[in-house]
Amino acid sequence: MSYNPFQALDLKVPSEFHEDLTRYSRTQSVAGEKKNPLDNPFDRYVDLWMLGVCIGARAGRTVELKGPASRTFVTGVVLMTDPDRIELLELLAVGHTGDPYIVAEPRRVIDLANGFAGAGVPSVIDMLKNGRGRPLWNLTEAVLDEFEREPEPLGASAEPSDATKATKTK
Amino acid sequence: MAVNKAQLIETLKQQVSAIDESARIAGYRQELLVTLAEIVEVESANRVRKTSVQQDVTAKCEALGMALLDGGWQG
Amino acid sequence: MLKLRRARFSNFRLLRDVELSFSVDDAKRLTVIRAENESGKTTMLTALQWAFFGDAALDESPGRPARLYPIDWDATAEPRVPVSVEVEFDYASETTLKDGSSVRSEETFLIRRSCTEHPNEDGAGARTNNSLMLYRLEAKGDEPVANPQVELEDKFPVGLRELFFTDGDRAQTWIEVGTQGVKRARVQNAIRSLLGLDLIEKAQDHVKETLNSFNRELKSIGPNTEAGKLGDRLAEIEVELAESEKAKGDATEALGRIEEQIQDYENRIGEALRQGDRDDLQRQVSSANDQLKAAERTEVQLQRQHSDLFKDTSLALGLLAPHVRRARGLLAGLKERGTIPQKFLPILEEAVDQGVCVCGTSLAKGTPTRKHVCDLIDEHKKVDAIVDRLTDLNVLASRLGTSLDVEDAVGWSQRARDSFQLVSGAQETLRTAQERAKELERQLEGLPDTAVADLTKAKKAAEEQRKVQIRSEREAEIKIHTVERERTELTKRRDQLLRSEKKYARLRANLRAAEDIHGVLALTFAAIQQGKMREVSEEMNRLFLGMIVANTEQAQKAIIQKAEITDDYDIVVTGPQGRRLDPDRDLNGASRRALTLSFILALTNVSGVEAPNVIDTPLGMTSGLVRHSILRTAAENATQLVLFLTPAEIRDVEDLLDEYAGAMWTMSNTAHYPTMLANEPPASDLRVVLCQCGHRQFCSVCERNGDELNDRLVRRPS
Repeated sequence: MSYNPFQALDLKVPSEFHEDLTRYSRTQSVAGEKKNPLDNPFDRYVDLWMLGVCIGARAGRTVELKGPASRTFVTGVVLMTDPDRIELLELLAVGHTGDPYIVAEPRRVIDLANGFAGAGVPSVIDMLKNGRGRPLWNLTEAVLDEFEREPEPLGASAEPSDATKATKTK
Repeated sequence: MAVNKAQLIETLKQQVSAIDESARIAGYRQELLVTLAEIVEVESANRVRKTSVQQDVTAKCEALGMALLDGGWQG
Repeated sequence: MLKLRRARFSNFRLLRDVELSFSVDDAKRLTVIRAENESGKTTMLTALQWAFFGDAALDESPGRPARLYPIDWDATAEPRVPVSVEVEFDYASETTLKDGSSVRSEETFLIRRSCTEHPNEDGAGARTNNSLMLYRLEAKGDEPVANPQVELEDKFPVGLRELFFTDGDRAQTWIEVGTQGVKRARVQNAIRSLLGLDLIEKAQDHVKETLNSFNRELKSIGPNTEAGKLGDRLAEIEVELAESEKAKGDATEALGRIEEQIQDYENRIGEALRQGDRDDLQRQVSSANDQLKAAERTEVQLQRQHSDLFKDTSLALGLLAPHVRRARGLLAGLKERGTIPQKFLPILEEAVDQGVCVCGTSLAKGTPTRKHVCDLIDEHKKVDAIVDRLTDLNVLASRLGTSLDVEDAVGWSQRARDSFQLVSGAQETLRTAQERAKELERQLEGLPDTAVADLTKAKKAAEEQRKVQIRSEREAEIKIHTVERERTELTKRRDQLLRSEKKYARLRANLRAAEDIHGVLALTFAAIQQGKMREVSEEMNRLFLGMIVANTEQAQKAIIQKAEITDDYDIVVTGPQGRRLDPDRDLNGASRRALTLSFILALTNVSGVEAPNVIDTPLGMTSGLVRHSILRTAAENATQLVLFLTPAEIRDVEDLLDEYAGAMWTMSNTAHYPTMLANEPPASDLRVVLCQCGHRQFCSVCERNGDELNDRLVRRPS
């Protein structure tokens, strides 16, 4: 069986953005629903989540997701279809904490990723909505702009801060 | 027949693990799973004969709510 | 699980008095019923379905009832024909107990469906005395079951009939026959039913209504309070949402119908032009329509490709470049220090085996030094897995880091820009194609030929309607989104208010419970849809490619790359460059049959629903190695397989039948004497006679002219 230490762990988004997860992905939530790439740019929920993780990490921001403020949308079993992501999440955790042995604690790796998603998913939703065009083009423009900007420098190490406020992690 | 209930309940079980038991009461996941399994039975029966499925489902939700209160849930 | 044991037919067309048993042996799951054409195969398939599903299984329409009685029935001697079919079957079910554990029970049932037909000169007679009985067979006697119709529907829903009872020639209904909407609905219904999606969806609807009722309860607790007003508004929102969802669904359905209508107008315009001897104009119109459709498809395909950039690893890599570089440095440091890869452990283990350390110290059994080294080994084994993982990550990080140094984010950004250019180009091409089509439309409208002009006007009107429906769909979507946001806000506020007062404790607990249930149901729906559906698609592909890999037609092997079920519930086959293949034109008969069987087997396997697959002439249009691989795959993957096979279909797969068949029968039609049957049948009327000859045998009942000289067959004493 392939390596997936995150199989039984929860992937989370802030509760208030859960509807947007279904809105902007092409996974049908209602039978017969028609989705298209322009308005529903993401193939699956986990694709939007992953982009949120990357945006949050690049900005050096986390929001701890727990309690009613957070919503589990799927378990880590879906990462099996994209094993590259498993490795990237581990490298992200190593790079962020400065601790290679974090890979021995999959729960911490996912908690970190969820924290980045907590900050990053709202940013992704904003990217989709803000702009003159359809969500796919708004998102493209915003991500290209993201690459034009310098990423936040990495701190020495980082712990996710308190519940509902996004904070810098220097 | 027409759906493998055991497999469906296994999938429900995997998703129940998403519930944060520490924010509910001890043993809540098991209670929740049993409630869900009962709802599956009720819906399955309703597929072939008219039943009071809506009332049954509401009753099961209320029973789970009662279990929360009895278990000391403060919310 | 459902398994057929035995069936008995009385006066069901040619099946005047036939009884047979099915193999229930798990090691030999196949039952073979050999019969030439017009020897009752389709009749028996229909009869079995009639037993389970009643008249819904008959090919009837108002004013065209089916005839069940034997065609040569002498109505003057007996004006009433008693028709009946009995089927005995095993049924296993699981019941979940209060403690979450489950209990499996296995029972045997007998269906007896009967009626009386009154033959008349038109052929079909009146049908009376319709009766359905269901018995539970127990050691102490047969116990009639109350509500047999309901019980049967629960065990074997009529909606799944075509999935488990397949007429080989008509099996392609899953992939060919009917409009796209019809095929899609069929596949969707089968998948949703067997995977439990419709059951989960209904449960969600009921729990949602429960939540509404709890919200309405807020009013009774405090009608003029903020909580009461919130509860009111929340209940209203559900109604508004349901209305908007319906409006959106109606618009989507209408769009589907309008698309088909537009296609129909195009076809008819083409036909009218050909008839009016305007071939050149017709060719231009046809070509413009083709180009327009191709441009639309290209635009959508490029949009999809562009959206796929957002799940591409290179995007994540580009955004996470600082983290990946840092990780690379840290892991490289571990390697420099010798922490990875793990070298220490194998050296220690070897030293223990040898009984001497690298430094020369004795590590013989019983020595303290050996114990110390063994303890060290045990400790290191715990971190072995982690070290292995770090070693793998180091290799990956080095590789990724290198590509980052070369490309950084430029790689993804450039691809995104290039893709955007392509989409813009495709939009331009589409605009040009649309203008060309409009120009030709103006020419058609101006023609003195009114049929063409009228059809063109009608098509234009349909296209306007299409715009209206697209707008309605979009408006409904926006409304849904707005209302959902309001719901989220109000729910938050409601929960805050409920927490503030003790009197709301019960209601709060009920709301929490119902929301938890709804949440898990939603997660389950997503998990099944994203997980199980993909599994069905992948399993179907695996079975299909396994079946056709032996296709000696090189053209087929070369062009077929993959079969899958799309998110829209279309079964599609793709060829080189990911191009979709048309089942009618690009697949031969063998491949179409293989695809159908693969879908049916994949769905039943992944869903875990165990039921018999009863198939009439599954191997028609197949030969040699393909036939072999189709049969082997079906026999290995079905829970119980019943195949009606002609002798021609049996050729070249006799060895497989030897291996998998647990029961074999031969049906012969008395009407085939003397042209085909060698011996005079015992009965003079038209009927099917059954014998227990297998595929390598014949007897006095089933012997056909020439069998004596056929070295593939041996005579079996009757």
